Amino acid sequence: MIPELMAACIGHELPAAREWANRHGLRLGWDELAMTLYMELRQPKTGEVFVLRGTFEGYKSVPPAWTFCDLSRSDCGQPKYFPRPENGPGGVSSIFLPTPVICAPFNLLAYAEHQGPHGDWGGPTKWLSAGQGNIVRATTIADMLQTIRSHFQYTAGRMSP
Amino acid sequence: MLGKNSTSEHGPKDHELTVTVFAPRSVDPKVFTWAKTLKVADAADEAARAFGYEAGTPTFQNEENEVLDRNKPLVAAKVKDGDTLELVDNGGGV
Repeated sequence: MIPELMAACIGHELPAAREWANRHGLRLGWDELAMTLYMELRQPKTGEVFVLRGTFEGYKSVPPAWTFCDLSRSDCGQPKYFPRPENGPGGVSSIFLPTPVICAPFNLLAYAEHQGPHGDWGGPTKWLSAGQGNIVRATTIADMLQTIRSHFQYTAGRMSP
Repeated sequence: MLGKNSTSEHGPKDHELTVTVFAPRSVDPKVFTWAKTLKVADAADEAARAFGYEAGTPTFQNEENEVLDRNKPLVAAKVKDGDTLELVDNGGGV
């Protein structure tokens, strides 16, 4: 996707994402040059802070690449930066797995083409309609953040020490 | 004297409630008036359509960050007149 279109998509969606973050007392950091978003989440059960990162290369032809980083934001993707999953109320399965990947159609890193577990979603370019049945759906930046936060609320501890 | 179920000139009927719904993708909220006995699923589906969502499993999150059970009536899900709700997707991961 050409850079101008990427910037337009992100520019269109960021205001709502910022409003959403403000409503929930969260701070959203956006690095325009790096096309990268950061958001700190505090785990309700432990009080620990986790740093969520989304990189938007190719957005919106492909979804962002979501992962967790250390507090300095210099190292990302390690199990110790991820929350340990717990299912939500009513047994809703978590988007967090026992492996360090956010498993949702809106995460580029969930696709087999990017070493993720899913080769059954039709590839990253089909992300806007990927998943069947009760698989979570989020197709704007704010919706993705809301979904990640919703599932994060039920996690407990870290995936590894 | 107004009866129990009469409509006040300035407020909702006793069997209805009016709430403000925010959706993550929208800067501005929308106001909805629903019967208290309407299922959360039906109310959330209506709100989702109004905000332009397609597909998914919408429900609401209240101000205590509780995700409402889609199968419950609004009143049983403790939704009250004047509440503020956030529209969320209740789908799961894999």
